[in-house]
Amino acid sequence: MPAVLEREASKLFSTAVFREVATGKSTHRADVAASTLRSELGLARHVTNHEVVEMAYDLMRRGYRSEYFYRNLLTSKVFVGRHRAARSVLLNEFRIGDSVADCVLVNGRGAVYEIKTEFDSPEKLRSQLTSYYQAFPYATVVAHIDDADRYLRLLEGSPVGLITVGPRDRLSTIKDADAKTDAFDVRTMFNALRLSEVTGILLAEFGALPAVPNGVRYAAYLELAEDMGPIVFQAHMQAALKTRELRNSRQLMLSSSIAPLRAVVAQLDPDEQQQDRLLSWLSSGGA
Amino acid sequence: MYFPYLRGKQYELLALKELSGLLGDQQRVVPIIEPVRSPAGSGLDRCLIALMDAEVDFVLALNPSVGELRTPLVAPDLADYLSQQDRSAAWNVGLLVDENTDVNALIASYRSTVDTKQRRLTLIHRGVANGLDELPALTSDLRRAFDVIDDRWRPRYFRDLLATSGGVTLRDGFPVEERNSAYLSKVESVFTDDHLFYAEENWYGFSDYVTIGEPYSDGGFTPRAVAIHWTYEPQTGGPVMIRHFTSESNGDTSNVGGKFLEAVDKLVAFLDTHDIHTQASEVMRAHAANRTYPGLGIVKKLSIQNHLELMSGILSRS
Repeated sequence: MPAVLEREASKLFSTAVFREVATGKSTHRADVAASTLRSELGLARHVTNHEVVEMAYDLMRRGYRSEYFYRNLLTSKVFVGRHRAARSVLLNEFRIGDSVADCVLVNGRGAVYEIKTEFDSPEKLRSQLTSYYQAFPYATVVAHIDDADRYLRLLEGSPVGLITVGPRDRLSTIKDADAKTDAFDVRTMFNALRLSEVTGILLAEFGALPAVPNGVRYAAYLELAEDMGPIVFQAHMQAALKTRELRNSRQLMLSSSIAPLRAVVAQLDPDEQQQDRLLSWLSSGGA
Repeated sequence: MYFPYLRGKQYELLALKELSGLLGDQQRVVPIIEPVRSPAGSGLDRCLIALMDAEVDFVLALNPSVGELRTPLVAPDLADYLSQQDRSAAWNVGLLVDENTDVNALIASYRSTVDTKQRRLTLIHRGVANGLDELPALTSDLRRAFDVIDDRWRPRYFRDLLATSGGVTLRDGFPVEERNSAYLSKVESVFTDDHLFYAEENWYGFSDYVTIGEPYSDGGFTPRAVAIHWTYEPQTGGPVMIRHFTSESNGDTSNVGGKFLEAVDKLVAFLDTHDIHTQASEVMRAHAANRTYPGLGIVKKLSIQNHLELMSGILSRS
């Protein structure tokens, strides 16, 4: 895949771009990216955005170099394929401590997937894994099949799993992930949650919250969370995250027509009106 | 006179609006407002009404250089807005001029979109335009009131313009740091001494970018450190200084409220030592005493209000 195409494709496959389309704020960035792709791919003007998206995604898939492609693959194969997008939550680009996890799947257990494309170097991996184990028991590296040996050597003797992506988008488990529960850190987990989720957990545990001014609320709530201990708080955190399941867009998620955009849909969970805007943008052609 | 240069962001407009009574009483401040969002429902309208009611003169820039309305010529949204205001006939409107300005096109767009009969015009020279020499002739029949000149440029270039207008010298006294945590090690610095010398140097007024600084950023993200910027006058008749009160626990982006309290505690200790009692200072004292966190926008608003009140007070003393 030529570099310019790759760059333009990565501009289009972005949650920020589609959020603007879905919320009705502006289709400008999406239009610009689609029209550049149209001309780079030698497509006529009337070719719909949907077709542009499909073609650009297909090129990305062949290149195996885009992080978005891997995220979308995990969304399709694991979240939709294995879990039918129900009773589980897929968090994309989820902040944990100083790192951002590419994908976190929360069902009965909490599993972090760290994507390493051909272009990524394994350097940051150690500090990323340290962060992830402060919040979740399972971590798995997802890499291209050609990099399997390299990562297998790197992960030997650790609880970290390894999944490779091979021809025809096949995911193969090379090494199972083992649970690691001795590194949970209450402050890291507390910071990963929304305030409403934290108050929900504390209310369930303590029945009431201390009445403190908002400047010292964080410290007071964190102290309560610390009192719960890391194992108990972790279980509550996972339960709280599970309530972030798709409310609006499960049907859309299951439909194969938006397959290239599943990772975007997982993050946006567009409501009916937002889905209409997305679909209407997809069905329109270039200006 | 003091001409604070403010971008029309929510908290900047709110700062002006809430302080309009005091500024109106003292009559020493003419805010320059560069709108960055469409005037419809942006708070710009409410701010300008408050300023008019308090009889505070202001300059409304019509060709913003930053934000949503950014355009080299008069922004259509702002021209529409002007034409819809009953009370806007006597407003002072501003045009930004820099190296890239086509002065003929700019003045032509001003004439064609704005009723120029009663309105006063202020040229804001952020740079030296190529056609600077043509500007006196191009604007000779317009009611040009002020020329605001960035102090990076020699006033001599603008001599012909200044012959028929009030000159205002503009200096950015705010020491910008990329990260808030860098203010931890920063000592106080001179913010301005223009108020001491502007009249002697034949300026009608002086201007600054308040406690925000010239660089513009839209929106923001959660910072790792909270910094409160506060101007004060250590000695009556001396320069105005700026100090920075910065949080200490800046390892991550969590607990902004707690970091604010770390910073405001330092500020209040300083205010008490120097017996400083601007309106904004008292609000900060109350937050420190009640352990409340008002949000970063309000912190910025209070910093601006403190500065405006300080400058207005100094000028109305003399």
